[in-house]
Amino acid sequence: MTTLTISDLHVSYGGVKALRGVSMHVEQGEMVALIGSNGAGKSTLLNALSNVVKRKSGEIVFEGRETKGMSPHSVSRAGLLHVPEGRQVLGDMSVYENLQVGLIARGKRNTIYTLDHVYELFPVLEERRDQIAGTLSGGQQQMLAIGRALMGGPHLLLLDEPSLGLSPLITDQVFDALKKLNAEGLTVLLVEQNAHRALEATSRAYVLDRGQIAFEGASEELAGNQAVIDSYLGA
Amino acid sequence: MLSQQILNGLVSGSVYALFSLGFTLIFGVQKLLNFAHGATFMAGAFIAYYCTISGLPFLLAIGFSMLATGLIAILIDLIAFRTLRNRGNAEFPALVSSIGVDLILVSIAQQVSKTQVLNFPFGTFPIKFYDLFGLRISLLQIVILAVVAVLVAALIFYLRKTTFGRQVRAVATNERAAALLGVNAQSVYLQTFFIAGALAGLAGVLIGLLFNSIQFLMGEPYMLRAFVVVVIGGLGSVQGAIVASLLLGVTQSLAVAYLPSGLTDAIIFGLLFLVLLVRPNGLFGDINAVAGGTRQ
Amino acid sequence: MKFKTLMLSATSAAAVTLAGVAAHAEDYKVVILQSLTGGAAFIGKNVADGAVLAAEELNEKGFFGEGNQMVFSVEDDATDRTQTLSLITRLAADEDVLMVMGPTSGSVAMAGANVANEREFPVMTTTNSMEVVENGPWSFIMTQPASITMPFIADYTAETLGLERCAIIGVKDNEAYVALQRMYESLITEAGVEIVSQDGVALADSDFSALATKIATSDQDCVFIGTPAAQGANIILQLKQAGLDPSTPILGHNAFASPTFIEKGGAAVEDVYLIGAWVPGGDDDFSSAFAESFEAKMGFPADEWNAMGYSGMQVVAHAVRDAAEAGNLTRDGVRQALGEQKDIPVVVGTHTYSYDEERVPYFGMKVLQVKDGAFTVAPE
Repeated sequence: MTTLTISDLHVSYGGVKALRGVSMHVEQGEMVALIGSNGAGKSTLLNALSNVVKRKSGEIVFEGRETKGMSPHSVSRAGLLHVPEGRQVLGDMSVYENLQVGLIARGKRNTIYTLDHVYELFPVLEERRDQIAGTLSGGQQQMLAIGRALMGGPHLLLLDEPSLGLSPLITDQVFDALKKLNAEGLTVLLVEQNAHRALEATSRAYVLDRGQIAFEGASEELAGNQAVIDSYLGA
Repeated sequence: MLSQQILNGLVSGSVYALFSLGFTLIFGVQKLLNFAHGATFMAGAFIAYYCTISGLPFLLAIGFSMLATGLIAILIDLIAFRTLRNRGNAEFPALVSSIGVDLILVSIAQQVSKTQVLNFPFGTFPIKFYDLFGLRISLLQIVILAVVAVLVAALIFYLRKTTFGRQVRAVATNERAAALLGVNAQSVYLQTFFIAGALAGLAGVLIGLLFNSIQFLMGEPYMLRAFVVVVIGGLGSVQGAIVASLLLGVTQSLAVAYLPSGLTDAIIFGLLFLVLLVRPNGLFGDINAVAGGTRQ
Repeated sequence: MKFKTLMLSATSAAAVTLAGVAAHAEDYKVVILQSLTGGAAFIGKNVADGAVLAAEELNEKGFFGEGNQMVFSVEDDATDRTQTLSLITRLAADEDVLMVMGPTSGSVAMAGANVANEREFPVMTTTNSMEVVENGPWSFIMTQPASITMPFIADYTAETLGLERCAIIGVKDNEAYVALQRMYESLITEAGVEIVSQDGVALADSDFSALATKIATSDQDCVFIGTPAAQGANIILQLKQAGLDPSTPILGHNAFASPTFIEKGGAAVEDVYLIGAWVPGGDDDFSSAFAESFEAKMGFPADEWNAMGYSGMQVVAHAVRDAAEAGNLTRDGVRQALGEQKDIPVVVGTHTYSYDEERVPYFGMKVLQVKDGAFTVAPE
């Protein structure tokens, strides 16, 4: 079953065309990478998916439902949860309270992601449950941001640059957790600048370049395609 | 006389707290100053007055007035803030548009009251005095202190411990992140405006009753004090607003009692500068605040 | 409306040119221009009602002589300067109008005075501001300046009651009230009364709890309150609630001489002393008769401003009649006659009304006291 289908998506920001006819899809249970250089339009795509930015034209169908006109909170309540770039934890509130806010998106939907599940995945969150979120380290904040989204019972998890600013060791921990979640059945769309990490963790990948899909294919295959990596990712 | 004046100050201060809480709540959530808060407060007193003189039991009049001022506050949000909120740099336009709403409400009240000072009929609330350790305290003062204490405790519980309170604080901290977590910011705004309006309305009724005076300009001195309270207490901080309100009430009482007349305002603002000198973010700064930082 | 009679300009033009020819019935046209609406309506509307009653009565009893009558109309200055300017300019252009009784107060009265002196058109404004008089020979004031009224309450404080230590509460943000308070303070200080405290409240204030506790617990034998009626009543309520000794005399000036004061203060304002030009119900034959006929006509009792309007119209009528009798029924004739009015019987103050050489009106004041929820003449 297809979880997400994007067809011919156009988004403009104050006259600048950020996305120019993007089409892609994510199947249920997949972990898909979206990679591309800085400014390629990756974050814009995620923001368009959660309706934080309005699209100019095109279709976004999530679990069979066109999301056009839905408010951002309705999109997340439908199970499309977006962990934004820079974590955006609620800095004045405790770890526990952040996780409780995460529950709002779940509503009355059933989910396997309970508080215990999140604590099991990220034990540090349980240890620091009463700590004010703004005082956590970058890696802990990233774990909290993911945990908080899990509390909302995601059918599709959008992750924007989870490795940003993290040490390789902490990045490993975060990616291990993501792989584990995916193995449990969670559908994930992962945006990363760190192409090697992303391709290593996912099964399929899209390369976004100046607002258009420049390449798509199996991650493994892409990882071996030095020409593509050199020309689009500059890595 | 000292203890009597402190008591007077605490009673006045507790009503300032009721008034300032709504103001600081809206500031905390929206980072916008709602200048129409004083007019909402005035409307509360007016509505309860007209309900009372048209024969409604006083308690019912209070309830009706709180409901009405809650709705007025929602209307203020829809008219003055909602459209501006979605654009950047909304602070100044929102300030101007809320001043506009304030002027409209004040003009209506002026027309309705024909510029006269109104007061609740004698006997609306029983006038009884008690002698408590040499203090002269009225039944009304006791009731006001109790009502304010209960409401303040309820508000803090609501913000700290309930799902809705978490949503309010989430929106206050980061509206966009909150939306991504499924929080309906519009509904949070409407609810905080309703609560702020209802509290202001109740404060208006209590002030009108306590000081026998309801008039169309009654909100202005309270607005000025709310600014002082919010700055001393720390922008957006609920606990700060309560402590600062009581401090302000007592300071004001003592200034009237022991210092030459006319110095009261100078003393209040002196206190403001002193607090800011020692704690630039106010007594409760950003720590523990409902919200901190600037509008995003 | 009945009193909005407008007369034909042809007959009135004849009346002016034929002035002094006794055989003709004459119409004397006067316009009552007061604040019927707007902020000063509580004064202007009431003055107009009193003035209309006076004019009707005078016509009825043949005050102006066989067949002659005063023809009057009532206009609204709306407490608005622009409206006043255009109305007075228009009236000044109508040669039949001898004079205007009005406009009411403040900057509106001042605007009226300006036009009046420019157009050489007599106006009797309701205000007591000497600025109106000083503006020129054509502008008059109807009510007494504070320099005349305040000594009544100051003398009563110091001499009649023999009080020694007064606490003063005034309004800090209104010049007119501050001036009255200062005048009272200097008068009682001269008379040997000590001022134990001075406090100013803002007009928008209503929380007097700290002030009330302070005064209630301080060492004084009287409290003077110079605020508007409603606010004064409220201060007194809070003073009593703070435990002020009920036997402490409380005094105020003529701002308290309003039904609002008793209505807002209830039992708390019992025994308060104040000054007023009008004793409700009247205190001699003329004023009692006025009180009776006013209530019969209007259906509610006359207040101070109704009585002022009624009295002012007596003075206007005498001036018009004097001018006619002197064979000088012109605007200038009426102006001169008005400034020379002496000892005209009125229903306010000490019952006679005079203008002095400076055209300052004098009719005296009554010291009143609230007794059983009504204003009565205070014991001498």
